[in-house]
Amino acid sequence: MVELKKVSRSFTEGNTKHAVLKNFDLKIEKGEIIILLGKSGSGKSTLLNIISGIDIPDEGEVTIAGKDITKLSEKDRTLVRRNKIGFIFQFFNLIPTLTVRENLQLPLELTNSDNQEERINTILSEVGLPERADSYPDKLSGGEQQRIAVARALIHNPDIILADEPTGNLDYETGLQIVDLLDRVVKQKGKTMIMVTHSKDVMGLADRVYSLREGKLTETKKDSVIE
Amino acid sequence: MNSLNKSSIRYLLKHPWQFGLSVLGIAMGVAIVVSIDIASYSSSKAFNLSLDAVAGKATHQITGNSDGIPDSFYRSLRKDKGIRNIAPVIESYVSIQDSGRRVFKLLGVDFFAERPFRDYFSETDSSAGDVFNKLFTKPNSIILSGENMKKLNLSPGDSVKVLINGKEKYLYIAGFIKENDNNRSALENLFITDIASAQELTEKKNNIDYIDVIINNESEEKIINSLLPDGFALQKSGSRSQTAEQMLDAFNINLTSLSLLALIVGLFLIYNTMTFSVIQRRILIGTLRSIGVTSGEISRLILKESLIIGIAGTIAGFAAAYFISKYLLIIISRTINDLYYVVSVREIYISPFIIIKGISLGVIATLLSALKPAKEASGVHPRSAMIRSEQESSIIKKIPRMTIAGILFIIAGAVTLIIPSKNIWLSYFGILPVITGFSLLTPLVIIIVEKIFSPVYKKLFGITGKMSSRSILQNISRTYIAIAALSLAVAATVGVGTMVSSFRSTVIDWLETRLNADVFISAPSLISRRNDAVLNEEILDKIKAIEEVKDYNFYREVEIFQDGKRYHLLASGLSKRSYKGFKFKEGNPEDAWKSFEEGEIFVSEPFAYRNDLSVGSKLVLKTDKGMREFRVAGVYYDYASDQGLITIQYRHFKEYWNAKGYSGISVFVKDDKAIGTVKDRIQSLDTGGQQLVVRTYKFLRDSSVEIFDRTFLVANVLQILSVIVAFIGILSSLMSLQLERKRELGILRANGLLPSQLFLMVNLQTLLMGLIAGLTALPLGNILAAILIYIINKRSFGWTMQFEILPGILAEALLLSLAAALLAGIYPAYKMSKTSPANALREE
Ligand SMILES: Nc1ncnc2c1ncn2[C@@H]1O[C@H](COP(=O)(O)OP(=O)(O)OP(=O)(O)O)[C@@H](O)[C@H]1O
Ligand SMILES: [Mg+2]
Repeated sequence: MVELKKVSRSFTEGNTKHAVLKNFDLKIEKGEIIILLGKSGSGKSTLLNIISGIDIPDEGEVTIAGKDITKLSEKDRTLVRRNKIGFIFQFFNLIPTLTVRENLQLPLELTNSDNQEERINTILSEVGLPERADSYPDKLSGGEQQRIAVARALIHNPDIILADEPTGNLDYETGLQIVDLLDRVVKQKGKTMIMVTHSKDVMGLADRVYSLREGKLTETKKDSVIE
Repeated sequence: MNSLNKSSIRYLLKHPWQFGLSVLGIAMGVAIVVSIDIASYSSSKAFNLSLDAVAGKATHQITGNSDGIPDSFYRSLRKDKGIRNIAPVIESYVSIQDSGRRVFKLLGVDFFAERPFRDYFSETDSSAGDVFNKLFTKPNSIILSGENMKKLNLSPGDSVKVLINGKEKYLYIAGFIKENDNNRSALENLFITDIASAQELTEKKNNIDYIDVIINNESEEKIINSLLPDGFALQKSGSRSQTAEQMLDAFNINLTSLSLLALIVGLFLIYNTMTFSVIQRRILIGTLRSIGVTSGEISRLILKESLIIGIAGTIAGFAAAYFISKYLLIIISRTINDLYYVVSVREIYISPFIIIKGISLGVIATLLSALKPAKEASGVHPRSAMIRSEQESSIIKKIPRMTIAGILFIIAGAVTLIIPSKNIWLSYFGILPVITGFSLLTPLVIIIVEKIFSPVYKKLFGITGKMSSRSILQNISRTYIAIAALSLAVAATVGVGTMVSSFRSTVIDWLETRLNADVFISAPSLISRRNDAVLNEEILDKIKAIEEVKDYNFYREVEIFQDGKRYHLLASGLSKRSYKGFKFKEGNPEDAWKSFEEGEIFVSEPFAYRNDLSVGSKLVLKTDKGMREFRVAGVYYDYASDQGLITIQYRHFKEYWNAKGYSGISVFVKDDKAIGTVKDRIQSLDTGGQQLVVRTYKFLRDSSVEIFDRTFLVANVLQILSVIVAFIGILSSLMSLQLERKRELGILRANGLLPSQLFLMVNLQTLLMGLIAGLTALPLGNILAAILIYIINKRSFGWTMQFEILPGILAEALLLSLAAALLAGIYPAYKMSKTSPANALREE
């Protein structure tokens, strides 16, 4: 489903260049749930950006559903993202000029989905915010925004879900709700998910846990993390 | 540098586009105003220099009758009465056919009497004695500046063919004068000849034009005054140039109107720019406030920034003005030459006032316009500054108040404008509140248009369309300023355009009624709108004798200098047939013509306005028989002269004035088909060397319209410049607007919006903004046109014009604002659609 081969990504700021991902391999099968750990700044968000095609590696291949997206045109890359991927950003990234309902409608419109109204209402009650449908994002609390961001990532039924610390801004209780939601949607529907998180409660979901350190991935025992 | 300043400088540098466009917007505003100022100042300066050069050190001038001063009078003053500090002068214009019709002033002087007056002869070349010898012995010898000689490809001893009063003559180059810094501008346009040659060349037998005088005390003045016959006058030297300057004033008023409009547009842009740069940073400012920066520090920071932008813009503006004014000067001096007098303007002059005005506009206005946004930004509570929608909803809340304020402003402007007054500045002052009022109404218009277009856009373009129209409303604090600025700029072009076209069609209507003969004859004139050359009287007899001629008109134009004013008097020998060419503003036509035939006068509308005359008023004129009083029998519409004209019947004119010859003749042809024949016959008349310009009605009408168009060319140029300014303004606003949405657009891209969809969305939005601006510009533009027509022009010239709304201009305006908005949107749209979403997302 997702395969990265010899991926490298570095950033240059002024004269200094620092490598974030170094010669990186990763293979994820359909229906797998991967959890990614790593210190702040270790490159977790960068990795998710590369998988989603928002960012392009300096070197290497990124294969999503059989296509190397680094070789695609920007348009085709976008289409892959639009149809296959749901992204929950680290900083919600809701669109401030659209209401909650419209934020949710957007991916549906882009993918030409049917039953839009119904799906919006369903997912809104799933994330527990049916009464905020007509609010603008900046009127919501951080946790509420995050729940809408999760809903937006899931609503068009993508095959791959990328989640960048989806519970990072939430209280324990709400965090559990989100995890529960992801569990239901992802696990039961057999979706692939890559999630960055530090929350121990989520570890239980994972098929595999990786940590990212100095540009490299190492697989970690789930149990050792939960300890 | 403390870190606050650092952050502010870095902000400017991090947004080079916005910074650059701010500077550019200010620079353009400054450039337009300054370049108009420079161009009109330089042309009047050049004009004054050339007058001063001719007047030399004379303190006074003796002017004579309508046909000048007999040279016997001059000789008796000098010899019999022993008055020494006097010198005779003849002034005329000559044109050299072969050098692109360059026009020179021919100055006839008495070299023996000259020394005390004009000393530029000291610089004649080494063999000066020989030069003077030639000047006196060889007829029609002239001297000119070395530079002109080189330019005309002449050398001493050559002769050159010229046209003087419509007759071909040969001038002989006796020598040249070396230029130095003192005489360069004086000699710029001058041919100097001996008074006897001048009399021969201009056919002013035994006459001179005026006598220059140097008077040291009042008793000398008294003595001279006592020696003058009726109709002669002793006038201060400056008064001739003053009257000439009055002419220029009228012309400058039009330029001033334009530059003030440009100034207002410029001010608005600067305000636009500064408001934008502050508004954009509300979040940043909110963050600064929440970590303990005081509101005073924030204000100072923003003012410091605007100072940097203002200074940079002003410097760039002055640099641009230098080039723009060179170009404007070419157009302006051509208009002046068409209408008023011959002057060549090459130097650029700049006065302290122009510099001060430019700097105040660029720096002080920038600071002032940053004041309000700075205060607002620093006044908000740190947390709410960070919440964008709060800021926007506070604008929405303000809309009712803004609308009411807008209406009040418009009313205040209207009240200021209808105060009956001749004061032109009061009128200009009234425009400002009207414009401000309209800008305050913009948010309301945005809400209404958005309400209407949102569903349409949604239907046509889906959610992309809806987002693009919605975000105009959601960013209303920014969009309304951008829209108002574009709207104002477009309105200014509608206003000027409608004014010019209304004026134009009024003039054409008038020309068509007034020019009601078939063939028009005059001597070739060097100044197109005025006939300074005169035809001798036998020519009329010869024309009358042509078989196909049914009837004829003729007139003689004279200038009267009196009480520091210059009047144009037209003595017309009108056939009854042409009476219908006069449309009266005041006075019953029948009574008016009856009184006219009995010796009363008509005055044109501008003349009546300037001199507060109406039917029945009395006007005292300096005639060759002394001061005489005339009753005004009618006020007629006339657009030939902004100074105004006095018309008197030729028969009565001859009772008071000696002037001979006719300035123009027009004839009616018995059969329309014979017009060409009559024209040919007149052209082949034996006129004794006098060249005739024979024009048919159609040709004269068209060439008059052409001169009109040339006069307003400068208006067109300025119109284009202000569109450019507006365009830069709108470009910078839209660019800021879109760049500011970088993150939002990045999210959209990350969610799968195609680059092409993003491009479409941004363009749909700017298009709608252009539409709103265009829609508000139409009423505002027409109001501006009405102000220009009914108030500014009326108050400056006294002209009545028909207001004419041209659908073409309106459509053009709408297209203009759509195109400007679209063009301004394309780059940001393109840029945004190309930006990698990852970068857009990281941006804050
Ligand atoms: N566009 C960019 N330009 C420069 N440096 C970048 C850019 N994007 C990421 N980096 C750098 O790459 C490194 C990894 O960033 P990334 O956002 O992937 O970290 P992260 O693991 O997600 O951290 P966190 O847990 O704090 O979210 C950081 O050092 C960051 O500064
Ligand atoms: Mg991260």
